[in-house]
Amino acid sequence: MKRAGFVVIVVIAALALFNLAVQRGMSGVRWDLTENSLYTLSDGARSILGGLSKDIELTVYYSEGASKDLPALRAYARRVQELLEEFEQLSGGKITLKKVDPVPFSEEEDEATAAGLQAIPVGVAGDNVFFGLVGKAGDKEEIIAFFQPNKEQFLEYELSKLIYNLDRAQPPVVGVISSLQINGGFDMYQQSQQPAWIVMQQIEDLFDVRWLPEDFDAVDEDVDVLMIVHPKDLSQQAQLAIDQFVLKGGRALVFVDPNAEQDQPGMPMMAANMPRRSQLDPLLKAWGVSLKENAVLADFKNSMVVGVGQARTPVRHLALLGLAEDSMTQSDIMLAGLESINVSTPGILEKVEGATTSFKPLLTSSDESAPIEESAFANMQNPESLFEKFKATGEQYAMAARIEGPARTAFPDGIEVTEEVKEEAAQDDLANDAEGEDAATAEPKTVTRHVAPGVAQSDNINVVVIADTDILTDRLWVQVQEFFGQRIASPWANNGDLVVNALDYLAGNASLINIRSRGRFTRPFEKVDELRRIAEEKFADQQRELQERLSETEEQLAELQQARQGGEETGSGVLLTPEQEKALEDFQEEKLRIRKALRDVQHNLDRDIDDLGRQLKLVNILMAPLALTVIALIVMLWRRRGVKKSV
Amino acid sequence: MNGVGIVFKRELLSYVSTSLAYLFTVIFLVLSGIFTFYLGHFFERGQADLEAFFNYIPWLFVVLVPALTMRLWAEERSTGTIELLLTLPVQPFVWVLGKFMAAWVYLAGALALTTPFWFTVNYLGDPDNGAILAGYIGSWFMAGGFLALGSMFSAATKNQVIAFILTLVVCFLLVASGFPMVQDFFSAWAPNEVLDLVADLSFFRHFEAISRGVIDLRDVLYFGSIIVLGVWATAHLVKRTASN
Repeated sequence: MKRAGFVVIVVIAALALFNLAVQRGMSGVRWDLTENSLYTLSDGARSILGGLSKDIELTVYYSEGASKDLPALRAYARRVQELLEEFEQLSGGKITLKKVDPVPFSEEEDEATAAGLQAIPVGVAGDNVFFGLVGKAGDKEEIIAFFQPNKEQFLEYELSKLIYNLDRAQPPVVGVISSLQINGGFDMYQQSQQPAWIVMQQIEDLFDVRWLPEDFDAVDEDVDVLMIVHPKDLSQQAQLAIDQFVLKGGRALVFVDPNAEQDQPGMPMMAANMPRRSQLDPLLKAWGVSLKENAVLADFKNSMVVGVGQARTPVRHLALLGLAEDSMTQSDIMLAGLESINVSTPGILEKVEGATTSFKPLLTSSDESAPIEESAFANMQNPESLFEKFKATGEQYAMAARIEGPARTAFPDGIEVTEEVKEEAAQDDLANDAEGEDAATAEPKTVTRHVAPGVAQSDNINVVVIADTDILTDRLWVQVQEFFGQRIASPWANNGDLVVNALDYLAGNASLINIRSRGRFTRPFEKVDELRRIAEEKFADQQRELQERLSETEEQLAELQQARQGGEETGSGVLLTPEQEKALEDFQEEKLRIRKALRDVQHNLDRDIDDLGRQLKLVNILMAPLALTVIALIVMLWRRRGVKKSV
Repeated sequence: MNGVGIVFKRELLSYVSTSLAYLFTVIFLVLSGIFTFYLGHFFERGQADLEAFFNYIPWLFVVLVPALTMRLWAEERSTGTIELLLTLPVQPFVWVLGKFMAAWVYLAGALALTTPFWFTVNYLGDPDNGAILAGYIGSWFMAGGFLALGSMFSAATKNQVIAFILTLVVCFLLVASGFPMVQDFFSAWAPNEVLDLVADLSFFRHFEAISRGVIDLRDVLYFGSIIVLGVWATAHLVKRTASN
């Protein structure tokens, strides 16, 4: 036994030593079996690393000592460092990698803090753990404040983005026009300052964002892409400026909406009657596309289920759509690899008859869709009411499209511009007479002038139109958490990727798209969703009818009760006749009956899904063992017979 | 090597023909189903992957593989059949390898019988089948590691119960060595290199790395080294019994 113990100890020691050598000495020979090769360096990253023009210095700050009690973080740190080494190797000497352990009270710790890295306190002692990256190229600096282990699938993208940003001389310029508070602002409803939408943060990470003033009459020459969000009340001058920008070869990403839910007036009282439709019709028409009049797209197959308050069962919202791969044109680079995009009350895009441009749909609805009037959404209390107006047409509608090809100006006759000019500026020749007078006191004068478009047509315009502005709002695609004072965004759909992909593509950068589109967030049980939809379809009428009866009964009940209370208060005794008393009781009973019937309908909705779950449990837990037992019994009997025969 | 084939066949046939092996497989399948559906909430999670199944596989193996391996050599030793075996003109190493391979293939069969999970998840949604395949490969490697250690402890003692307990304890520690319950024991005094080494020795860590969908050579070498050393040590111990 002693000897055996010795052998066991030798084995364990050999195992430890061997693994010490192997785990540290080797790196990165791997076989990636995942569907999208999630853990293999993509072609996009390779092409960025292969084409670097500047020397880049990467310093990874990792608190070796303080992370002692965090084995999971330590394992992830090793993975990050390996990937960085791979980057260094592939860069052909352009990247140099440095590793620093910022121990407490050291100069390195100060450096890390000064660079903006995040320190996370751990353990009872409250030691700070740094695990971030500082990248430098010349005087440019980019950081990753903290590598979060649960975001491993985006690691390659984050690193590639950092290197890409450091390497390029100037980021592309994106000019933004928005009548929504996409960049944050004061919210009258919540009476507080709201931060910028996450999508804006993402755009600012990659592009040089330039906000165009409300009354702009020209787009700067160096703007690469124009992003127009919910255009409304744009002046003729501004529209002409956009028209000219596009005809001169500028690219545009346009978000229009028949019902922009975020378009809230300053005064909450005005909200109900305010039109929320984007207005860019003349320009869209010139580009060969139109936003269907008075129509919001409803799509039963892609619709999502939403909560409508506590203690109420979530209901289906026909115009809140979760679009999966089959609704996206996967062959288009902007959408390749994206898996889910959520939109809310989107519009329908149509090709204008006789248009010279090509119209390529990017997002399309299912064949269980139909347009619903915009007015249905103005005072909508309950999404269930949409079912009354919905009848699938069997047609599929486009919610986003790429427009390319020859186009003409929307303003062939030019525009009339009315503007106020100071008298003295308008009448230069009289300047001498005005000598001694203060310029500010000069009388303003209104003049009208004609502005003709400089460029009347183009051989090829490049515009992407998306018929929804809510697609940009955080609520549809990202969860935002406060993480030690920093806002951390955890996306649960690809809305942000779509926007950044589109801007990247329009600005001419395709490498990052290739990397960004690889992460996959969810793989839902499609079968269960289908069952739920079928059940809802089956019980929708019944449920609606019951609900109507319930509210009628409640109304009648309330009337009778009011009458009785009134009688009691005025001292005239109980005013109800015995018949009315009887009716009151009947209504109360009826109410209880309807409520029970409603509960049954609700229960029936989930019954098929519960049944499926139960069956699957049974099959998976018992089927294989039972089959095996039967086989074992057969083998046993067969062998027994064999033994008997041989006896 | 021909001898290995003969031993392998004989041993594998013995698995197929004994009711104990059937019982073991049935327990494995029922428990994996219960763990996946009740503890792992497979259906309620609504995600088309087998995470709920693979998360519990290491813990199932910790208990079931020692039960399988305890009789591999201890039984032969206690009943005295080992002497008979060793008088045959076959090297102890051949016996050890043959027996190990047979047990490993038998466990592959048991894992293969869990494919209803795979059919289920493909029926319900669109899973990443590459990652699932990697999960199965990782499970099989891990089973091999447990087997090799179990076979070593079985050869080290005559008593099956002791072999079972030793294998269970060591396998448990090896699975848990990346978790705080084991790390805490070292973190008070050991330097980081030792802590990392202990974490590197975790079955769970390597298995988890493979079941993400990536088969890294280092993870393969880890399980490979355990298997090779375990089989080598078993052969050494069996040989020693023969020479005594």
